Amino acid sequence: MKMMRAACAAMILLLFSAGGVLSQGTQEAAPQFPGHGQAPASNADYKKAAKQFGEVYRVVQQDYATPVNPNRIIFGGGSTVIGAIPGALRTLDPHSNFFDPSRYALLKQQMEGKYFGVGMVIGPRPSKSGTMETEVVQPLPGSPAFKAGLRPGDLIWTVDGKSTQRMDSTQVADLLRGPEGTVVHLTVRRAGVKQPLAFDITRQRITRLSVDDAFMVRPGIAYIRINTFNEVTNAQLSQDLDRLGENNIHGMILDLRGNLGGLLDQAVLVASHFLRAHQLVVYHAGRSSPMERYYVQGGETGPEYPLIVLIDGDTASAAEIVTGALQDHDRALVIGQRSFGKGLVQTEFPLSDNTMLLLVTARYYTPSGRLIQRNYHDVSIYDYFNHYEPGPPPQTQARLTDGGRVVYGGGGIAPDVTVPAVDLNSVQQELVNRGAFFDFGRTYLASHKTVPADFVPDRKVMQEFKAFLPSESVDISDAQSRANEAFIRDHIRIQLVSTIYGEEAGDKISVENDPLVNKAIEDLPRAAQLLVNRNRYMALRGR
Amino acid sequence: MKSSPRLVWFALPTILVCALLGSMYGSRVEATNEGLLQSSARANFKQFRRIYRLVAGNYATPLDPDVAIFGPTNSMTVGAIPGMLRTLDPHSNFFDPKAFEALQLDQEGRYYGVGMYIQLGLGPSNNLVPTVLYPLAGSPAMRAGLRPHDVIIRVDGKSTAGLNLTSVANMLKGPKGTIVRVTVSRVGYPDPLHFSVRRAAIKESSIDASFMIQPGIGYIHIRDFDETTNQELTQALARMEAHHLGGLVLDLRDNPGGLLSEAVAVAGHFLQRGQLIVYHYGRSSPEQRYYAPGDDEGNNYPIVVLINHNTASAAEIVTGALQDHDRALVMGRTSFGKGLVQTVYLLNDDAGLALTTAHYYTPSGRLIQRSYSGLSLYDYFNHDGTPLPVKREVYYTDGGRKVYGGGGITPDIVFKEPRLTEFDRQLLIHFAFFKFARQYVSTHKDLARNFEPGPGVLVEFKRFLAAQKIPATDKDLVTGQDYITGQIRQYVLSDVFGGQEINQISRENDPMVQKAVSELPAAEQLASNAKRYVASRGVN
Repeated sequence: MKMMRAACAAMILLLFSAGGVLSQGTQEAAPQFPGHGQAPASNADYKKAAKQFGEVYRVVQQDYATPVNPNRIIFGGGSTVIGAIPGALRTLDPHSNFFDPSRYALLKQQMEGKYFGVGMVIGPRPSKSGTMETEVVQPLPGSPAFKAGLRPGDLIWTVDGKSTQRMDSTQVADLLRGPEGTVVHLTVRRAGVKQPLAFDITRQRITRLSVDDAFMVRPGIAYIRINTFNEVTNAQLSQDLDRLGENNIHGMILDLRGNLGGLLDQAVLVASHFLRAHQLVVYHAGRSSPMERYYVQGGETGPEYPLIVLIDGDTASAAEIVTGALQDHDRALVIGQRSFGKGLVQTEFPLSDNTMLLLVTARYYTPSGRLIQRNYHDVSIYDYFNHYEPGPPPQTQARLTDGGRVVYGGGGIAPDVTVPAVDLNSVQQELVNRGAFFDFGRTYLASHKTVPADFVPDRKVMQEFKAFLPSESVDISDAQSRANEAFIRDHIRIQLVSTIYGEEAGDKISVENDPLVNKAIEDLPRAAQLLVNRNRYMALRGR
Repeated sequence: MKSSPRLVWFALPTILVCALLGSMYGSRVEATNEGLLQSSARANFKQFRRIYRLVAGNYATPLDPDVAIFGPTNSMTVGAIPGMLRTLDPHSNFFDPKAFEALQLDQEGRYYGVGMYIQLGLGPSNNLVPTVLYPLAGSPAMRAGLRPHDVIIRVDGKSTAGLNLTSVANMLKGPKGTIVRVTVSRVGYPDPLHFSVRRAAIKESSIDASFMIQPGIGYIHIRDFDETTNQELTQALARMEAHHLGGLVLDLRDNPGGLLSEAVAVAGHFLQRGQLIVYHYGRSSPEQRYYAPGDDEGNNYPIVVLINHNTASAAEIVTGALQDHDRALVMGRTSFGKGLVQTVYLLNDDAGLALTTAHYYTPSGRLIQRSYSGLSLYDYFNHDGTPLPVKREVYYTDGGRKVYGGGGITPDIVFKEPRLTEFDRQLLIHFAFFKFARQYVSTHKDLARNFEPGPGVLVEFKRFLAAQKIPATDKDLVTGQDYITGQIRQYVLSDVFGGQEINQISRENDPMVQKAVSELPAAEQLASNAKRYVASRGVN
């Protein structure tokens, strides 16, 4: 959907890299090589290799055919120009990275999960004349922008009197941000409204949501979706659980699909909500990093309700820690597709000049001792991140859960119940890629102004949509549109409802229609059985 | 199956293309002289060392410092040094001691092995198998008794099934003096034959074909420019001049370059004393100009130079010089476009660095180098077909003809290899020529080297296709006639003759070579026009 567009693609790597960032100073630890590991390189080996580099560097500086930019050759530039440091890091693993000042600043902002602004996702939209304009993709629920009444599809015209023509959306985003409490004056053009609409919005601390959705999907059955683990995740989850009332919950679907990870401490806190006091959540160990174990903080005190965790190939890092802990302790039934398999601890080493080295210093293990990390040797970085693998991962590192079930490590978390991903067919893909629903929503609301909360597209709306498609250069036949009628109806509904009533209202509809969620609801008794079996098994073993 | 003959030692094609070196060898680099670096360079170097220490001290698992700094074996993109060099250009490269030794041998035109050409042939169960094309004269392979058409089934007991030619070639190579066991199957022998061959230094000729293609017209193919190229050329020309050489086809196709000094010497054979051949300069490398040493008295026969997309570096220098001085007509496809001088530095611990220190220019001032900014290594080396920039700098030859800079040498006459039709492809996929040739040779005796498949052979071929259930219409056969006859001739003759002889026969039959011979008068005209032009300008 178009909403996804603004989630800056360049950040995906950063998100991946964020599992458990421990800060350390810049002290230059002299290389030391603890006894584990086979035939460690000696201090002299390190020095020799470094000296060789120095030699080559010097020759390049002195004799290269054209003037040499020392920043470029050491630090690289952009994605195509590698550089010495990134070149060295790429020999290690796909998650160790060097951050230049601008990438580092962006990462910090991302990790803090907050900034001062108006709270909306914006993105580029091609205009009729072929230039790019900036539009509102989605005001964040509860944000100043949302409260002021901005809508998806509004075209940003001026910011504080400055025309946004000739600006790209990053520049517009910079204008929207500013000190807390200041007012930004905004005019937008909305389809169906002749005059530009003016808004005065007070900038606030914007917290990027981490718990996207928390609502009852059925009576007594809670649905919680965590999209990332940032500084506010646990606080948000506690709030949401309070709001829903844990006593009212008799079953829960915890959706971690697409969750690329984030902060380790938050993952531990989230897992703690569902586990008993003192249970192990995760541990990590590395060559120079002593083993560290993380135990449940607080812990579940009330009755255990059956829990199902949904995962897919984009569930990674901190999200895999949560899933692994809940699986190993037989607390949750895991459904979906095998997770990404990112279990490396990266340590942040801030350097001078506002640069930073993010180095893998240890590896994560689930409570039962499974290594989460997938193999990356002899795999190109492209194939690694796009999950192109020759076959299923080897079933190595067999471990037992608390309830005595066998689970395997070395390649992400394998679900207890595998449900293949449903791919969109070509018609559906085309409609989504072209942003047809998003654009139709804008056009439809230009003439109809609003829709009721329980809006369901009738035949007339469906016809209107079909008539609208040619303007999106989408060409689908009558047969194709009949075959995809339910898909189209749902997506029009989700688009219009979320435009008028906010993202969560739209999410609710898509969750209710999600086959995997429905499958999970059906499987809740199995999750309940898991708890029973575990208790029986542990009692037998005398615990 | 048109698998071109492939040299046994041709194991490092990328390195070869990348390692087309200038003749200069830098002095051994001596220890630190940080005072020479600018301050920002020094600061960045410090930062590098700091990061390296952090990595060495804190990485999660044991790590190999050599891999981190030099990159994994054969990687040209990762590791600190390759990563740094990739920010510069596609031809600057670091060689670990092993790779550097191979590079040096290569420049001397030597390697350690058994000395035979291998190619893919058709095996007993219609699969592709490595086959001996021919052993080099006097090589260990020849002395041991290996013959053309022997199918290599095992090397040192390891089956070659499913291996590509490069892998088999690498198995045959090894340290000097060691023994490699080669097991072959040979037609007429029910059991496999075993040979123990002692590896020796093999000197590969730089000129792999030189003969009189017609009375008075010579043909020479220079494979690369190594230390003996000029010496070999001198001998080849002397042999030909004894036959009253009146025209020469100089084939530089698939020549990736090599030593600059040899390229200068080769071009010098055909130019007059004092004519500029090439010059180069760089930021820290003062301009250096190379002139023809001798004179070409008695050596003014017309020349046609053949080039293709794999003609690079030193080979482009020769082509550019002969074109700029209107000494030769250039035919084929635009050449690779590699005009960077690499200086080879011997580093501590026998590692090597080939660093671009200057750019080459042809006598008229053309930059040979193609643009590489923003291209991945893969796209740079596989750019075949990428259009050149529309606006290119114009230069003039001695004779006042326009030539263009910034992207290889553009031929005077474009000659593209004909493209295969779908039918042609089907024939290859079904090994039709291979099988037909075998059948034909077994039923026809006394085939001569001037064998020319006539209409009778084509009728037989048509019957063969029907028996093999390979669909073929009359129209297919008529349209593809030239191609089909050429292939049948090639396969039949290589079954009969094999060895070096087929090398010559296939060159004689190459349409581009034949076209080159027919263009010799045009080359002669070119040279005389140029002389007149120069003379007229001299009068003014």
